[in-house]
Amino acid sequence: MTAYLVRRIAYSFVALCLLSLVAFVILRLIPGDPARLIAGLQASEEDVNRIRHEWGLDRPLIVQYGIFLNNFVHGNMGISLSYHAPVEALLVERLGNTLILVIPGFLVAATFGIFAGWLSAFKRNTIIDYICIGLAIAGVTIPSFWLGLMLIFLFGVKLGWFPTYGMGTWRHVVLPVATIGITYAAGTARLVRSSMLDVLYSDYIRTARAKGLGEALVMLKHALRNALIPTVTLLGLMLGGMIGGLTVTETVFSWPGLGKLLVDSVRCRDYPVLQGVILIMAIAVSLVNLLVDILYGVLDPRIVYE
Amino acid sequence: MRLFFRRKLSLVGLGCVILCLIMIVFADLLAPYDPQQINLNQVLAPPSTSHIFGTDELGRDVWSRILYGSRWTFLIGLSGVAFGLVIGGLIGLISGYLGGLLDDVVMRFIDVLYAFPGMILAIIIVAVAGPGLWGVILAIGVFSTSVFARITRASVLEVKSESYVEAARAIGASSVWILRRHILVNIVMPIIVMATTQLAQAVLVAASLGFLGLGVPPSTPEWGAILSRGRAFLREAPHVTVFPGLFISVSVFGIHIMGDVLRDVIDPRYRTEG
Repeated sequence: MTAYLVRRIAYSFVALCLLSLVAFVILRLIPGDPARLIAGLQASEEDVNRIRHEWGLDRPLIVQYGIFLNNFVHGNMGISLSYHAPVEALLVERLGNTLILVIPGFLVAATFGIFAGWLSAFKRNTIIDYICIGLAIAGVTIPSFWLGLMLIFLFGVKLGWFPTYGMGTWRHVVLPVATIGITYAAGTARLVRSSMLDVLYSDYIRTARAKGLGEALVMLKHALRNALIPTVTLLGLMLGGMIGGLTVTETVFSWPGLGKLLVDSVRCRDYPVLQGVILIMAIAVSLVNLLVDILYGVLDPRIVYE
Repeated sequence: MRLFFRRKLSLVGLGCVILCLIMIVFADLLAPYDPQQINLNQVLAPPSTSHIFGTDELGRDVWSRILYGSRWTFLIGLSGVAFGLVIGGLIGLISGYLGGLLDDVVMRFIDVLYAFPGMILAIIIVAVAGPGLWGVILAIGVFSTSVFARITRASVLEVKSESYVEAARAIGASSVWILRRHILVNIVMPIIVMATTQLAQAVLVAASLGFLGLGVPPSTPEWGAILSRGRAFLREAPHVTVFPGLFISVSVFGIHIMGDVLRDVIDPRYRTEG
């Protein structure tokens, strides 16, 4: 187990380095002088020169990468061009805002997804199953920005129950969380259903039935637990993706989170922010993936870590 | 009951795909107006007999824009997937066939790509390549590369250990010959299925990028872009937002179902339940 953990953490570390390299390389890939890109198009020649020296842009690439990492570790990620604030402060604030949506959204998606998938498999080939499948297919195929806009139109504009954009009260949270919940629950439900069906024909289910356990208990205790193992991976990827940015949902609801920050920084060519957002997302995704792999072993004692 | 339901669902899916194909092929014939024709006397008109889906904020006919939009959306989706298929397929083929250290290193890199949320990857690519047609196609291509690399490699590994490949090697066939004659033909099917699923994804990503304003120029009649412009007028003219979204959903649904049907036809192992 320890050996596995060490290897897994080392792997995460390598992945992080690769991703940080991506964030680093981006500024060098975009045509133009990186110092000019960081300082902004309106910056004076002096400012550009100062930044070139500060970020070591006049040194060899490998040194530049070292400086880049060192600055990052010390929480010094430059000044945002459009917000005129330190990037790190901006990132912390936006990450917090995103989490306000991610946590309830994830819980809603996981609960509904697992329940619908379980129900669908339990009542397979009945009308309930078909309704669940239909809803799940709809959830997978309807674009989330359209779903969000339709919810805004129905519950915000027509019925006036919830505000249509921005953040503030709990009412602001309802529609974005519903959008996230519906979108992500659909994928989860499909996976839970198909993993349940895979599990249903295994020997231990037959044994459980032969013991005389009720179908509901078999489905819950034996089938669901085993079906959840692949689901954990999906949920993990989902959570990573959510923290990494609900780009579309946040844009629809004008929610000042990380995802919206990413989109805005691309639009406004705010490169210091872009770099920072990519790094934060890379860290979030790597951390969540690491946790998922560890959780895997806890859920399924059959997995032996070599 | 089950078969009936599945068959019905497949038929509906097929219908959606045929509808999209008709729109793409006959857009010029079916469109009642020029999609770019501005008519300031008819701004944000609700659906009527002369404009069945109404008009947008510049008085352009929404139905005509959606018709031409199908071409843009599918052009972007198909090119992006083709890009990812060629690059990812080659990576998976070579990596899987040669194996060893190269395989380890390459696949670790692909795994990192795969674990990173696709939409964010696409946005980052657009940030580097710049918005516009090529940026979006590249974004979708890179985003699907890891998927194709993984499935190709898995299929290659499966086929590689078959006895007919060993036999070919035993009689002295070259690697290129084995790859072409034995491996490629046997991995085509799972890749086609994956390409269908990826196309559905690509249409969604293309529309999402269009919606975020990071896709083709906003005046282009691309589905995501039309919808994004309608967003500002959601209150007074919901039709500009509703109809393009409906068509995105219908096409993605159709392609999705086609992918499932193809998988059932090609690989009977999946046919049992579900």
